[in-house]
Amino acid sequence: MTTQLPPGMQLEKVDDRIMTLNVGPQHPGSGHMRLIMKVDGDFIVSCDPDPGYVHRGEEKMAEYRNYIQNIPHLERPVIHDSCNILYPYCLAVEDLLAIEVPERAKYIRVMASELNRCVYTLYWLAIYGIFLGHSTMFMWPMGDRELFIDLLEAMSGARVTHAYFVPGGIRNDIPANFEERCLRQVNYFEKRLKEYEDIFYQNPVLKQRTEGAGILSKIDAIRLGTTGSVLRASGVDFDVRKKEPYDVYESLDFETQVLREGDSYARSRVPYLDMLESCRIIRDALKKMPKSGSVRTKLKPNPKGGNDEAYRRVESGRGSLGMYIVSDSKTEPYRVKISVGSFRNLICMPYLLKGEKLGNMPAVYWSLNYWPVEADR
Amino acid sequence: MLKELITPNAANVFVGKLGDILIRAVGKPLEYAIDWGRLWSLWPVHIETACCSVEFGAASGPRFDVERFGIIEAFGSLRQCDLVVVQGTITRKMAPRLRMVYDQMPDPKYVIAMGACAITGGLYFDSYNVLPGIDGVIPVDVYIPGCPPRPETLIQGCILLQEKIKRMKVR
Amino acid sequence: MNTKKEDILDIAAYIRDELKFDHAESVAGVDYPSSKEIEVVYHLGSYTEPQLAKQILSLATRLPREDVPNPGEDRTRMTSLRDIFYSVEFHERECFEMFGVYFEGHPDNRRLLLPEDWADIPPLRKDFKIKGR
Repeated sequence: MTTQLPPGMQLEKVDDRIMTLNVGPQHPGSGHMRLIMKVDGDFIVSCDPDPGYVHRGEEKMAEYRNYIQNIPHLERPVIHDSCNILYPYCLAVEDLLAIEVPERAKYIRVMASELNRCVYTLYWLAIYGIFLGHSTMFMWPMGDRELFIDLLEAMSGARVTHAYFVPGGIRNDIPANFEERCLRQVNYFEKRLKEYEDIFYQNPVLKQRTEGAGILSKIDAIRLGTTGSVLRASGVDFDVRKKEPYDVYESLDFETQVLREGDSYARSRVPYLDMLESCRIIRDALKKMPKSGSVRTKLKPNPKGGNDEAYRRVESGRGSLGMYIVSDSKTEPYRVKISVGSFRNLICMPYLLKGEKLGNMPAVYWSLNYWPVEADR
Repeated sequence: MLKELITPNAANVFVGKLGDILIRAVGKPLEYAIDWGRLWSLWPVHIETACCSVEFGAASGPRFDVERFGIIEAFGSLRQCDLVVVQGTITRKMAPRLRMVYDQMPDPKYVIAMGACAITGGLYFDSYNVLPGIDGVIPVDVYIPGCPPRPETLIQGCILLQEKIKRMKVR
Repeated sequence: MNTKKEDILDIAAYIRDELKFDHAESVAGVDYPSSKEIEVVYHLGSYTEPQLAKQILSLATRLPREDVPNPGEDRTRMTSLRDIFYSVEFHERECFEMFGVYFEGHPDNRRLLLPEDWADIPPLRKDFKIKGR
C-alpha cells in the first residue's frame, strides 16, 4: 500500500540502519589505534583500521644515527619483544659489515630471543584474557612473565629494554649459574602451561566466543600475505626459523605448530603451542651451547657499510620480521625499512571483521597478534 | 548584647565572620575527608599512547599490584575517571585526542606523565612526529622518568600524586 | 631484479604465475635525490612452494622524482601491484604518504600513518630535514 503524496511533499527516507562507530583510541578494546566501523544493528558491515597514533618516524631517525646508535631506538616499537626486533637488524648489519659471530653468542642469542618470545606471548595472552573478560588469564601470565623478565634481567641488566643484541654478537656474557636457573624456569613453565590449557583453552565460555569467529581461509591467508601465528592457524606451514634458519636454529630440535581451523580460537592457540616449542628450543640450546668462549666480535669504531643492501628476516612473536638496510659507504645507513608482522596482519582486519558481530570484535582483533606500536613504527 | 551588635549595617560582617569560623571548624575536616576519599580510588583512563603501557600492565599484574595503593586498573568509561596516566610518546596524531579525553573528564582530574617521552620527547627528541613533552597539551601533576619506568617507579609516582592530593585545597 | 616502471605489471604477473611467488613482505621506497629518482622495492616471498620459502625476491623500479613534490599530481607515479599481490595494499598506502609515490589503480590512496593535518613534504624523502640535525 503506497500513499501518493503530491510532488514536492514526499519525505525523503533517511537510511538510519547503518551507523558509524569509532572504536578507539580511548577504548578498552582498541589499544593504540582507531577502528572506524560501520554497523548494522549488531553486525559489522565494514571496518577501516586507522593506525598511526604511535608513528614515531623510526625509519627517518635511523638515517641520522650510526649502526650502533640505532640499537636503542629500534627496539622501542616492541619493548616486550626487544630481542626479536633487534635480531634482523643485527643480522643485516652483520651481512653489510661482513662480521662473523662467535658460536657461543649464536646460542645465547637464540636463547634470549626464545625467552623474549615467551615474555611477549604471555603479555599478549594476558591482554587477550582481559579482552574476553577472563581476569584469571590476565593475572597468571602477568605473574609468570615476571619470572622470564627476571631471567632476561640477569642476562642483560634491563627489565624490558634489553638492547642485548649488537652487531657482532651480544653485549655481555650470561651470568654464572644462569643455565641452571633457566632450566628450572623452563621446567616450571611447562607444567604451568598445562594449567593454562585447563583454565583457558578448555574453557567452554572462551570456546563459544572464539570458535568460528573471524575465519580466515588458507587461500586468503596466503593472498593477504599474513604472517606468524595468523598464517599458521590457517594451515600454512611456514616458520622462518624452519624455512630460512638463521644462526643455530638449524641444529635445534623443534617443530612448527600448524592448526587448520583459521578461526580466533586457533589463532589464539598457536602462540601458546609456540611457547611450548620455545621451552624445547631453550632446553636444547642449553644442552648444545659451548660452555665457554667469546660472545662478541669486536667492531671497529664507527663501522662503515659498503655500497650494498641487505634484507634479513626472523620469526618474531608476531611473525616474520624483516629489516631492509641500504648502505652507501657511510657510518649511517642510507635507508632502513622495518617490515613488521603486525603491519602485515593489519590488512586482514577489514576482511575478518566484515559480517562479524560487534561483540566479537575484541576476540578477532587481538587474536591477530597485533601490536599497534610496532605496526606504526 | 548580641542583638545590639547585629545592626543591619554590621550583618554582612557578622555573616562573613561566622563563615570563617565555620570553615575553620568544619571545612578543614571536610577537606581532609574529601581528599582522603579521592586519594584511595584513583581511576586511570584507558588511554595507551605508546610502549610504556607494557610496564603499566605489569604494574597492575600480581607482582607489583598497584591496586594496593588505590590505583584501580584502567577499565571503564572516561566519564568516571579522574586520572590520566600518559603512557609514553605523544605523537602529533594522538595529541588532539589526548586533549579531547582530558576535556571530557570530570573535575578533579590529575595527570601523570610516565616515561621520558612524555616528559621531554626522550629518545625521540628529533623525530618529526613526536611532541617534545606533553606540557603543551595538558597540565601535568607528577613526572615519572625512565624509559620505560620500572613498575616500582610508577608506584612511587602514584604515591607522590597521593601526597599531592592530600595537601590539595578542595575547590 | 630491476625493471622499468612501464613493465612492472607484466613482470609481477609473470613472477606470480610462473615463479610462484605469492605475497609481498614489504614495499620500501628509497629516495635518491642525486640522480633525481625514487626507487620502489617490493620484497616478494612464497608460502606455497616449499623450495622457494627460503628466498626473497626483490623487485625494484625507479621513478622520476620532482624537487617540489605534489603527491598524487606530479610525475612520481607508477602502476599499483595491488591487483597482482593483494598484500601490498597497506604497504603501498604507506609508501604513498612517506614518499609521495602515487600508485595508479590503487583503490584507496589515503593517508595511513601520518596525522590528518600533515602539510609538509613526504617525511622520508631525503630533503625533509628533521629538526636539530
